[in-house]
Amino acid sequence: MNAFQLLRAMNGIREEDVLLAESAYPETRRVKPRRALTLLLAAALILALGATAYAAAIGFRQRQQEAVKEKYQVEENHVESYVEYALPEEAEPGITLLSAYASGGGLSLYFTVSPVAPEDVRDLFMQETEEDGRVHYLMYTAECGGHKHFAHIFTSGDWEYRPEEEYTWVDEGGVELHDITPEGRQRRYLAQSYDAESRALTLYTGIPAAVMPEVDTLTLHIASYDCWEFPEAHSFAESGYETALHQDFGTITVEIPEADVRRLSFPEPIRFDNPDYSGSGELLGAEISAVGITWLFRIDDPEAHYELEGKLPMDVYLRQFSWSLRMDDVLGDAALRFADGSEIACPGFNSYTIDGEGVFHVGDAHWPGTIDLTKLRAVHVSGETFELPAPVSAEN
Amino acid sequence: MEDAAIVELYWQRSDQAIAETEQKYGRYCRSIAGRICRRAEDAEECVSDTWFRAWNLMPDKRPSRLSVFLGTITRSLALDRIKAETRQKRGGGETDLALDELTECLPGGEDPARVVEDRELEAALRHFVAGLPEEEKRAFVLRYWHLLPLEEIARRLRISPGKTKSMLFRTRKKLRIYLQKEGYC
Repeated sequence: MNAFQLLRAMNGIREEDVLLAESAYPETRRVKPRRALTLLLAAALILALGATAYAAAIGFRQRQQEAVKEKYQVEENHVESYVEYALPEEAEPGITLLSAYASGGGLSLYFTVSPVAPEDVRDLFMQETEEDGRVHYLMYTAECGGHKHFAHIFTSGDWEYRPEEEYTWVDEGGVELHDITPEGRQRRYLAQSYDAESRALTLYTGIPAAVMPEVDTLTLHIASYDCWEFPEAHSFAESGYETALHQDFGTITVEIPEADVRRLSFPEPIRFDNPDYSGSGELLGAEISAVGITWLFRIDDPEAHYELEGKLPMDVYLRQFSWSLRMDDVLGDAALRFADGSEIACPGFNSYTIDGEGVFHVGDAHWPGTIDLTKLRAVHVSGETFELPAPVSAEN
Repeated sequence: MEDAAIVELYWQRSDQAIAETEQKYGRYCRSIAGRICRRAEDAEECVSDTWFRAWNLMPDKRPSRLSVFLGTITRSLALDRIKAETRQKRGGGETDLALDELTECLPGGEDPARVVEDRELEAALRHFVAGLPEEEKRAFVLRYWHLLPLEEIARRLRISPGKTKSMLFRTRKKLRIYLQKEGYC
């Protein structure tokens, strides 16, 4: 028997198995009633923008996909849970999915929305003062499961700001901070994230694992809102602030890709106390993806747990901040070690979510781009080193 | 036109049978032949031969799924064509890559002395593929029946090329063990 006989013998597989595979073909996904509407919208778009703009719209989305793929270093670092979506043959108004990346911390989703007016190419750091003196912000959101998550403008590649676009300022604590002017930000967004002809803007959003549904798909409602107060929450555009719907882009349903995560449970939790409040904490383990690490903590202080919606009362905020500093201490010497002997430090964390079982998922990424999970061999934290077995892969 | 109606045209020996088949499945069969044959004109010949063979097989045969029926014919014709060419030289392409990959599944990795009936091997593969989990099955059939490149399979299944490659590697390992267990050595 030879390989040719095997290949030819594939002729004998069941019809339904050939058809099952073919159901993954883009052509078979079309639904006739929608096709009529798609053609109508495509015709309207062509008439409105011209045939060259129509081709440019498709090209823009393809370029954005390439930029996202490059951001994740998909090929170089064998990034498994990165997904690129087939772009529609016609550029339609509304939402176009580009790519997604799934880690243990949640789902990062990249998409375009259109039509967006050039003056709406703004983020939360580009506030405007209105005639009545109120400061106005424009906020893009992705809502799912009753939570509004921020959707940010996606930028890629190198960029050089002009001298007049950069400035420093001193905050209330006397700390000197570096910032970019709203004009500088917009110039970059218009160049890198926006297609003037199709009026498409590239956004991305992150849905934390703690609020992901227990099913294989996620439905997101994408919209922009006017607001007059800067939203304080890390991941949520909360309903406690005054907002007004600015533009509704519709809903999109996404199949959640499988997360490629290496999980580590410590044989014994690493225990610590908080001198500011009674109660103790434990570091239980970690989940490492190509983009970051999520540490799993349990905090034995019910006052430190908070509801995910609404503004935080100041005393709760201070309590959580205190526990955050203690978790920072525990993670101060954290590092990842690789098969080639190299090591990257990953101390501290950026944010956390709390799951239904009261476990704090404390997430951070301390490396640019991605890491190659297949080469990860150990995690060092709080003075101890925990070995990871080499993963089974196509190369092993 | 529905498949049943097209099949009926063949049974009625109608001139319209080939025209309707070409209209509905011409592109499909050309894509299969195009992935196997090295030259466009060879692929075109395979498609034309497919219509001729379908005409000869019906009546007698009344396939329920015309796409699979025609696709299988095209696939066989194209593979036989490159087998003849392969005796002279091998020059790359997805089919050659697929052949190289499937050689891994052969116990010992080389042609054995034992003679295996084609139909028995087809039955074994049918049983193996039928038992695969859905996503693995899709990837395996797209790769080794449709002979699609990895990147295209990844795009259609909405997974990364790396995951596609790993999945196919694991499935080929399973196939190797299965063939050994079934006595194909």
